[in-house]
Amino acid sequence: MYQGFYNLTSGMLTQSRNLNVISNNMVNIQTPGYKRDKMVSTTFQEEMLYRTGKRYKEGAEPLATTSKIRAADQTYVNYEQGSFETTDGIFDFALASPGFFCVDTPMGTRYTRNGSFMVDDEGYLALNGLGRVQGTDGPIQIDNENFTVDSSGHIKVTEVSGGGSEDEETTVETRDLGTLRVVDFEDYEQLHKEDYGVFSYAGEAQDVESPSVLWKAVEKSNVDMVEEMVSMMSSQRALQSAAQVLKMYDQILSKASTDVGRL
Amino acid sequence: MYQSFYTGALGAGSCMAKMSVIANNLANINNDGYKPKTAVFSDLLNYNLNDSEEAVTNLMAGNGVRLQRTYTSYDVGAMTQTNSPLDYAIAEDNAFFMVQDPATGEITYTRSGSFHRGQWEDNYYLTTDNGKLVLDQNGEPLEAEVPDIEKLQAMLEEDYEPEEDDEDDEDDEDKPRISVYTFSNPSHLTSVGNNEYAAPEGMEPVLVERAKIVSSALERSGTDLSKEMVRMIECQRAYSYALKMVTTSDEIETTINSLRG
Repeated sequence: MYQGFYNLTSGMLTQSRNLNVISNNMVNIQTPGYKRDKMVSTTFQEEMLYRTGKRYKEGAEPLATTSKIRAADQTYVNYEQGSFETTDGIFDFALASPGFFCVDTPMGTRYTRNGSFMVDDEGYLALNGLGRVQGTDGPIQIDNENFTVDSSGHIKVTEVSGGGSEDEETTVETRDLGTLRVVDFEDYEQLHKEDYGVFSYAGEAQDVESPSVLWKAVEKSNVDMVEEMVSMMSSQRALQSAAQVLKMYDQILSKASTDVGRL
Repeated sequence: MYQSFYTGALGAGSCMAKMSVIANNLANINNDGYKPKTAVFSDLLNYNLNDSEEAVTNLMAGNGVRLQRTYTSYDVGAMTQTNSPLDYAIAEDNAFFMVQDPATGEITYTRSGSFHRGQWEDNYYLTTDNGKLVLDQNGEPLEAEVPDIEKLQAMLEEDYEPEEDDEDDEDDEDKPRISVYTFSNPSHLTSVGNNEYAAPEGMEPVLVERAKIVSSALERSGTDLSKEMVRMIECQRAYSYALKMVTTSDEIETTINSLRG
């Protein structure tokens, strides 16, 4: 009799969790490299319904299976590529090919598609205080900000020296600062989203041989405004309908407990 | 419980912060030597929807967004010709004039080259709009040239013959001249107002040899009007979008509250 209460409540709880996920997608619409989450819900545990006699419990006849509870199951990350935005930032990188940048964090190597880097206090390329960006040969120290980056992520700086007086020759020297390390994974399912837009991976990452790196650009968030808005609306209404039915339930029970029993 | 409410509010708040950055760029569109700032967002923490804090689950949601930082690119901007010989524009990326506050001795850096001849103690020096001394390649205040009235009068006379200036050839290197400095990491400079930047402790300026400096010209503001307008529209939409989430969460709370009429 009272089972519906729990059913409806679980529906409302699940929808409100879904809204928590959707709200985070909605506000991260301007976050570079953000990958949207999608929550899927599932039935909790199926139960068998049996019909038995009132007194003789033998020979119960199976009727059907039923599920009482709706529960949030998992959030999936959608790794679809976002569009690119060209910026003026010299530390902005975007990956036009599949893969991730690697960042050394205190917890270990973390992966991200957010290429909006900066330089830390010691001049190393880093991701917003999380840690240094990995190059193919260790962290990349930027000691001259007049560098250029080619499409495979080589960071080079051209230095002109000498030529101060007429007899001194001008030397133009091109120096390698490093190459951005880009990796990819076999199984994206095993990536785990962590704080501040980075991912962790349990297995081995594979280096991408020839990545396509865009310089002075960032990958925008892959949140689709329309889709999130529609999910938000449907989730809200689903919650409200559950609430409405819950209200009816309450009314029925109120009838049962006050009117039916009245002498 | 109603995290979505706060997530939405946080999103709207960060949009406001970004809007302030954009507004400042737009307001400085006629400010010579101004370098626009760009705001960068980042995700925030993730939390488990249905488990303890430490557990590693696949049922997670993020709890909002933050304005992580703003950055400035010190690229060469458009230049405009002026008639003042004391105006200078820097045609080098990441290079700055070094200026010094005569009262405190504090050194700051600027790309705005709108200078004047200002009097300090007994001499005339090249100063910025707010009276700071411009420093030369040795870090000394640069004296402004005061026109030699007698020479000018002589130039007006018909039989004027320019004197052979053989002084220029010797010690040309050491003659105080307008100079610009760069840093190993200009991105670490902090804005201190008045188009000036301060270097963090430990970052030493490096003199740019044979820098390209254009005189009688000023570098225009680096604000790209169309870019800022686009960002403004985008930001405004994101703002209302986040607020829509707040409204929705509010409606849900109303629904919950009206369960018992």
